[in-house]
Amino acid sequence: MNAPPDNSDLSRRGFFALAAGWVASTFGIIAGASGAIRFLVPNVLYEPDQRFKAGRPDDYADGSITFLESERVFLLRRGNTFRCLSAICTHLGCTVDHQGDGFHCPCHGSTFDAAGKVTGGPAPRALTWHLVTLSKDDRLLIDKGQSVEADKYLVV
Amino acid sequence: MKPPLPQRAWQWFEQTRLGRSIFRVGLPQSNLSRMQAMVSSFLLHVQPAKVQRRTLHASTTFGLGLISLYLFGLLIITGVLLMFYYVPSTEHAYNAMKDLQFVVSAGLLVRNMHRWAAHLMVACVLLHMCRVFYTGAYKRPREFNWLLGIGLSSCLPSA
Repeated sequence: MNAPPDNSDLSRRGFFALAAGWVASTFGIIAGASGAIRFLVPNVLYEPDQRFKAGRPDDYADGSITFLESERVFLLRRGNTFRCLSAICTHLGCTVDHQGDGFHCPCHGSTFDAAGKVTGGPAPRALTWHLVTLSKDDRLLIDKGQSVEADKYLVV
Repeated sequence: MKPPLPQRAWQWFEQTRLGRSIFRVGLPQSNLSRMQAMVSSFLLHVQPAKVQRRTLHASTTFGLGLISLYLFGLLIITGVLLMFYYVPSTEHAYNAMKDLQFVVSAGLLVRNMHRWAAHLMVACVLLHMCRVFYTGAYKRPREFNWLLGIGLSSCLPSA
């Protein structure tokens, strides 16, 4: 609809005014957008911290599978490697038991193998593996907010 | 033979003052007139080919309609942002507002932008109505525009 503006007689002052306007509006848009994004990142979470410390690595015997009742996870040690498996059944959230090589849910009979994969029952997904790291004071630090692949483990 | 009653009623309505104000160019009968109706009532309304110098002068309209539109856009953006934190219930609303004021980054800014935009929009819309009245912009053939404005401004308290 509009003919393109004829800029051939744009004065030096006019050019700088135009450039300043464009730079200012670009910075304004960037500042507004980054402010909006920063606004959306929460500063406070109203939920318990998903990370917890599970004691020293030496507290767990080689080859052991320890159930940590308060956190509903299994801590698995093999040699100098540590892994952490969620004990929450993916069906309806019951706590699974360690049975033989795998895991068994007492509520509806789902069974899982040693890698947490479903081998029977109504469970829709494999059990979750959680990230295990070592804290600065040499404690096992487990983050239930992060899931990892079954073959990822902490080497101490 | 007389046309059927609905058609005659429509033809009568199109001739009334209200009908002519709503359908300025009448109902289009061909593809050409349909296109012309779209161009004249939408495209040429936004970007007219020709305007009077006086209507472009700032003191004619004070830009109140566009200012109201921009404030409305600002209200939508800040309102959507605030909805992420605000919880409309008697137990949580007060704490949500406290969080927005003291915890959330730029929360106070966003909340105050929303608040001031809301106040300013009410003022701008009222001033816009006064402007339309005093410049006679409600007169024939734009009577229906006044009704549209009444409808829009009655939506305002709910926003």
